[in-house]
Amino acid sequence: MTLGERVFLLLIRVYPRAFREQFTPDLLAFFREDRVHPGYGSGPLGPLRFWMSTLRDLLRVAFTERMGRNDTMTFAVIPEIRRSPVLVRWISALQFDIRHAVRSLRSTPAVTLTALLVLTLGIGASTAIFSVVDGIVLRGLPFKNESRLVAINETDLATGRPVSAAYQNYAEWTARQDVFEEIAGSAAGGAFITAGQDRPERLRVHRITPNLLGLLGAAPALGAGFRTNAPTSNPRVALISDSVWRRRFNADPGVVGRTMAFDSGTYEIAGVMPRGFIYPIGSALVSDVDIWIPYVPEARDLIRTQGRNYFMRVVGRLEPGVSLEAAAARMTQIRDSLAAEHPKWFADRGITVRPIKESIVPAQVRSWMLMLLAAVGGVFFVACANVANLLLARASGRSRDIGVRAAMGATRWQLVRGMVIESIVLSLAGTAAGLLMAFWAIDVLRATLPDNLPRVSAIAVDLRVVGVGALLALATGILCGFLPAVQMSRTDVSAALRSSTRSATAGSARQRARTAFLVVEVALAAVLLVGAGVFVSSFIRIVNTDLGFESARLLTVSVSPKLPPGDAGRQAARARAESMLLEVLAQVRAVPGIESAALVAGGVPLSGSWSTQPVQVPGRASTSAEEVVVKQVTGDYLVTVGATLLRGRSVLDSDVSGSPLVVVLSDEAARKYFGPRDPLGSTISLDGEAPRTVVGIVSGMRLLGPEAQVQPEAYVPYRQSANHNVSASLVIKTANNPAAALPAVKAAIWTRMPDVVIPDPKTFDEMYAALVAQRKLNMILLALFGGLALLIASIGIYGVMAYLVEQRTREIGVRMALGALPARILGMILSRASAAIAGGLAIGFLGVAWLERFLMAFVFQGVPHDPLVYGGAATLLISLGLLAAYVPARRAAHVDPLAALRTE
Amino acid sequence: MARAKDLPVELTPIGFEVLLSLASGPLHGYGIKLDVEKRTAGELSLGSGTLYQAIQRLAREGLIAEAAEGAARADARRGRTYKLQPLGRASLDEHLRRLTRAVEYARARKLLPSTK
Repeated sequence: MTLGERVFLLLIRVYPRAFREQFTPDLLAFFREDRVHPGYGSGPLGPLRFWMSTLRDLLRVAFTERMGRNDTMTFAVIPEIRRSPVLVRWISALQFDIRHAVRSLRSTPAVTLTALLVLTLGIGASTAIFSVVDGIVLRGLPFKNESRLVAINETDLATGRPVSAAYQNYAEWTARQDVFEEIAGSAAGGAFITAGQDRPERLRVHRITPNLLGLLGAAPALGAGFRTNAPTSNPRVALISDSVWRRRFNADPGVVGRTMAFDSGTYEIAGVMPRGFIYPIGSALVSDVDIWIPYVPEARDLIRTQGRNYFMRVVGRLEPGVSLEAAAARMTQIRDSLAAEHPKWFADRGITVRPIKESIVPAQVRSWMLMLLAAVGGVFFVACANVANLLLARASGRSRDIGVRAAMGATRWQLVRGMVIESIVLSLAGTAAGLLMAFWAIDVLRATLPDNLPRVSAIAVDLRVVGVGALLALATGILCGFLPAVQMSRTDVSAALRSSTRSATAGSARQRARTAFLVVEVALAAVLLVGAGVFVSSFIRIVNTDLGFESARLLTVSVSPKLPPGDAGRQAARARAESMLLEVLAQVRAVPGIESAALVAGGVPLSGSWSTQPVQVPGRASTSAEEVVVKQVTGDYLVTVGATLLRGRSVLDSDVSGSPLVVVLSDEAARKYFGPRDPLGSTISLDGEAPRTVVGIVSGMRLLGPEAQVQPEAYVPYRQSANHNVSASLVIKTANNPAAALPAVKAAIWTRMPDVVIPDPKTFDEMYAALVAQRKLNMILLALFGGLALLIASIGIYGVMAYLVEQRTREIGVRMALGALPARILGMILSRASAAIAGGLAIGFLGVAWLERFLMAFVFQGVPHDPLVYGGAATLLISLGLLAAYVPARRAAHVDPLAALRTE
Repeated sequence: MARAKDLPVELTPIGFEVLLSLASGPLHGYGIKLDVEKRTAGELSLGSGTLYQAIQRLAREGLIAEAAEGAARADARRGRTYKLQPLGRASLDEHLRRLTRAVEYARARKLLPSTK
């Protein structure tokens, strides 16, 4: 059977079953003969004409078969007369339908504008989120044949997490592997500083093995690139990015072969990479790489010494016919044989081979993004249900018009087509407005997305997004228009003509459909509101988490004194660096507006960096790898960060080398190492040094942010630690705005160290904000979606109730004339709305109670079935829904019976 | 449903064309299409769905029937073959009679060019 026949067999499933059962072989025989009918003409258009005519036939017959079963002898078939080319007739019919649609939409501005507003919100939000998800997750990477590219990482066996590779291992893999066409490596190269016209510029450098570009399928736009695969031939060559080329060389095409001078030496420009080439693909947290230089292994990279360094980012291109699993299995074999040769190197290291995309967009980001897409899909469907409801109401008001058209010979197909086109026109207009909204929303989103999200630069409104928007429009148009149209086309012609517009009350089927849409809307809104509630309550828990210190008005500046290069006089240099840092501290403490200041080495809280040391407690059988977070601090540190001293004393400036060795422990550490014993006066030793006496206990801190666990901590006097780093950070508590104190702080540092570069100082509040950025964004987006759904559902409730009141004005008038009190009328309308709201809430809550389990993965300490969240969502929906119903209900209660009865 | 046997029924344009084609002898589905197309100089071209929808209704009302074995049997790949039934013949005759009367009337009133 040919493909065409298969497609045809699939297509004829639109026919009712009975028809198919009776005629499938005949239809297929007909199809076979018709396909070669000369009437369709030869050439490329022939098959097109054939399929167009087959499709038209199929749709028309499917429709009449399904709709008109009860007309016995009317073969409701329109002959297809070939007078003008099919396309011309088709377009002119369409033009007519569109003109008619626009005219009729304009005749009911209130409904049209409401529907447009709802569509704009629904489609705008969906398109904006889709473009984000598309940019980050769905779109392919800009590499040739991306699906064959893999990332090869070592793994930390303790955590299972992928880590960078050691150069030695990379070299062995290259030599031993036989499953990749090639593997290539790269490593961060720090920054080059180059003198610019007016100010120095830092350019980010990446070191790559010369075969990397070829492996990725990339090549310089200008120049030959690295000329040889032998990495040592001339290491002083560089590839520059398109933006450097434009910025520093005014896009000079003759730039290849010229040199660039950096603080670290002069490099010859070997080529310019094309615009849009980004490697490695990172996040907004780090700027894109500006300069690529050949990776030249150092002597210590080539032999296996005591120390190990993990810094290579390795990619490979799978050999044709080799699957990812096979490659992974082979690499595991290689790792195992290496492990047998060098046990020390592999005791804690495994290996993993992943598709390159997975290494860039981690699974949790992917599922987060898809969750957002699902949530915004919910909003979209609420919007659709709402518009369908509006159109249904609107169509009911036009049953007379439709009756007239039917009586004048319009077939049901024509009536339905007209109405569907009307709703498509509406949804296209909504999409156009929605896309405009999306442009704006994406700008806002891009600025709000957390810095560590990968591929943010790929987010844009482009053809793909517009295409999805157009598809949404079409789907909306059909979803919203079809049911009302079919409902209306069932209109009993004579009944519609006999009755007046006003009392052409909707049939009970139509009423049911409207109520069903309303219930669906409320249910979806309930789901989204509960979802939003889960995220909001989780965020509140995060913000309310006690960090154990006070981040307000805290500022940190890291200071690294310049040391003379080489190992000569290292000890003396260290001592000098230490005294310089202490002098800087003294200067900073003297700055007006500074409450207190301290030095800390070993990682500033919230900065994400920390260090640990092995700990031994005399008289306690400690497990071998027990480590404690250690910070070397000057006196005032604990006061400056606002930690609570529970017992004993803090670290003092008088604790210097030579005085008794002391340590301050956190309560967590004290509990862990001493149990019920009194730790004060006892000793512990860190990193195998001489024992230190515990002189104080502070309350534990969440050093890595609100979601981190409290770790055991130890605070050691800065001047008592032999092997602290030469660089340290100043932590400064200011009296007022920390940013305002910054210039004075910088000036104070420069008086002692005029040549030091001060990298971005940060306030603790900024670091905190960065840590919770993703949670916050999630909360805002979900709250936004919930709010939108709530708003749209309320509009829906209002619309349906207003229509109901209008339809029943006469009946209400009669009731009131017979003595019904306004309050009773009000209650009657409100109770109808309540029933729909209650039904929707019940369905929505049941659904979300089940869905919640998937949400819990995305929130911090999620509480399943949180009564507060459900209660809040119910309260919001009920109160807003009743408010929306109250407006028309009040109108009903104030109906003037006389006027109402006169309306006929 | 009760209808006197052989009492002619109203025909739709397509029903009429199908019956007209079958009047000269049994045909299979695509044969009907080709015949109609030839007769109308390509002005009316039936799609498969349209045709079989008409065939279904005509057969249900007893105007046409499947031609069983015999001379009209085509090979299985072309689909079933249909022939006119007495009721179909009567309905066609009735329809043609009306058309003829209309044409004669139009000619008499010089609404149509007369045939010689």
